[in-house]
Amino acid sequence: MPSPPTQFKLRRIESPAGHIALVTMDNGEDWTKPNTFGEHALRSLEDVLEQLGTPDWRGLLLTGKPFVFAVGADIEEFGEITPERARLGGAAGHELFGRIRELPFITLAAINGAALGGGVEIALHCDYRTISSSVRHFACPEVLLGLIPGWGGTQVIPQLIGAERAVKFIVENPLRQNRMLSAQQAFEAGFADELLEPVEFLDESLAMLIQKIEAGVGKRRPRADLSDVAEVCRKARARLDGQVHGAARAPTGRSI
Amino acid sequence: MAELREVVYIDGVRTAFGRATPDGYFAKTRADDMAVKAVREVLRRNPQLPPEKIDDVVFAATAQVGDQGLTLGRDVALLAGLPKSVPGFAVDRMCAGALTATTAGAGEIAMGAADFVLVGGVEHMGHHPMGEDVDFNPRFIAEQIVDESAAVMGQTAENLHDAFPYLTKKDADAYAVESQRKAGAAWDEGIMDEIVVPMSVFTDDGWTVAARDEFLRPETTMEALAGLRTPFRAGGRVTAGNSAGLTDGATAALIASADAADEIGLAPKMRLVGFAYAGVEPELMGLGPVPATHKVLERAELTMADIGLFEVNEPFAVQVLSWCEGVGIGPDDPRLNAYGGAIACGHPLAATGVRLMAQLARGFRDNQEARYGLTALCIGLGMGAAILWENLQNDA
Ligand SMILES: CC(C)(COP(=O)(O)OP(=O)(O)OC[C@H]1O[C@@H](n2cnc3c(N)ncnc32)[C@H](O)[C@@H]1OP(=O)(O)O)[C@@H](O)C(=O)NCCC(=O)NCCS
Repeated sequence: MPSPPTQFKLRRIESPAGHIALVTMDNGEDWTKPNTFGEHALRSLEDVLEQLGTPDWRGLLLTGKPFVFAVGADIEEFGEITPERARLGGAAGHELFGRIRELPFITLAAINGAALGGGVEIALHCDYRTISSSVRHFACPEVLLGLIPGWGGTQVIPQLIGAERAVKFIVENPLRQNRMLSAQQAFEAGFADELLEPVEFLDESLAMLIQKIEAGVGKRRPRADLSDVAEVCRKARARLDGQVHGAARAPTGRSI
Repeated sequence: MAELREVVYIDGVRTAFGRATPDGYFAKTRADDMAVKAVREVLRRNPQLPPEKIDDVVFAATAQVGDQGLTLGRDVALLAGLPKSVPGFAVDRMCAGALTATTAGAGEIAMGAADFVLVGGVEHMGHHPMGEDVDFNPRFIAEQIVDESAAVMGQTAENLHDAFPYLTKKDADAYAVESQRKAGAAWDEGIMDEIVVPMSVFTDDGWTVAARDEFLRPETTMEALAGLRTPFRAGGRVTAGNSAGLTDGATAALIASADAADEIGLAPKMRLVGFAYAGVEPELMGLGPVPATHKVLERAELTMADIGLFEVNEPFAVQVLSWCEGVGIGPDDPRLNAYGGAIACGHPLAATGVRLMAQLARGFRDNQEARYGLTALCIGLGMGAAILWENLQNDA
């Protein structure tokens, strides 16, 4: 049974700092059917971005339905995929996630539950991140599937946490029995600005966003020092070639 | 026996009150999570109190099943993240649940068995429609122990109109219009924002924030109320407009021994002077607060003239009107429900008591000359509750 498409649901919240866009990713099912990004979901995101074009917004908070943030691309759609559709899907994601990045007000992703692949990437296109300490699945498993985090992950992850950690997160963890990070580990690796208790997670995330707006804190473009990137990649490639012997090709950088 | 100790009210808050319908704020939110929110807000506002000093958590609900069923005080304490050494229990006296939680906690404090007690109530009337799981004993009717109408609160309100024929539907509607207007003004002035803690809630349309009472209709007019249905009796007088709606909400408050509060630097807002519960004919349950009020005043050797503020619950306008009759004040007395009442904000049964206390404490701050105040409400099966408080915010 395919899950119903995930929708981006926009609510306007009145706050002391002005109107906040509270956007929930929700496919209307319980946590056993997590949110995914298929064509419908991307169209829904596009609708929301359209509505965010009016000048009255002061901030955006992006979160998921209870217990789930988002687990990335809709793998059920992969069955029918062609190189052409893959390229289009990639481009659509780039375009929409790029528009999140370019929103003229500050954005915060409140990672309330499982965040995988595209779920991680969409969060990283926001300016700030909180993560609930109850999160147990935070990862980019694409490489295990012979893919790469194609919605900006290969770029924004190293810019946020540096080359060494990025290679570990994007390439080595998936190939180590699909190792995932807990909230604590994700926080320590630099993926989130705050690690918050689950009990009032969304209220506290919202309070943090409002506080940042009131304090006049601006947009953010993390730029880790990546001068070591070539060296880190060379070493990682050597390690991995020894480990997988060409069985998982995408991460080693050869084209499909 | 040890000497009794002074009991003081430190602080109290509530969630916004939502409609108990499938599209209400809290339809998808658990009752105990709402109570947890209120409890954590009380603690957040009173950081001087180390959580391990809390000696008990007393929580009320009328329907003690489902998400209100797990010995609420303890369930809420654990879910709120209080130390596991903090115990808790649950009480039920229907609409007076939170008042009963308060007087039970006060008893522990007065006896020297506790220094700090968290009290409160929650009622998710959407998840637990009134009377749903109740198995009404047939003896009540067979043996005429109570009149059949006693089981339906709205019918007891119609009975009050019968018993006091000069309290007309027009009087009830006029009272309701005023309640709505006063509540609207209190929101406009930011008074309610001090008492109501916003809470994010998941809905079919995504997460949103419940920050304002859903029933509030400050623009209510006599004309609009005149045309409403009378669901409890054909050609009756009780309508959705002059009743409190079916409501989801939670409240929590901190009470303490005066000395213990002083020791850790918590400034009390009110002192508990006394309290009383009383019983009346179940089919006229709305009269309950009349004898409860008389009883508590007599014991304290005070009269109505000594009381500067009244916070009286408003399940039905006629119920307040008959209380006014019984205690000899006018329904337009400025001491009465200055920030509006349940007709405007809703009445989540067992939660309401702390709402009254929180509004009274706020009223004391606005009315330095008021020395005493009363919180009172009526209770199903024919009872009334009244707690008498002394203003501690007027010593300046
Ligand atoms: C009275 C009661 C039955 C009404 O329930 P309801 O019909 O679901 O109430 P609603 O909110 O849908 O209101 C009914 C109508 O009155 C209207 N209305 C309510 N308040 C109004 C107001 N202030 N001004 C104008 N119209 C109003 C509503 O808009 C609605 O109109 P609609 O039918 O055209 O939509 C219900 O609120 C009740 O049982 N209250 C008592 C609760 C109780 O017993 N508590 C315990 C006490 S001890």
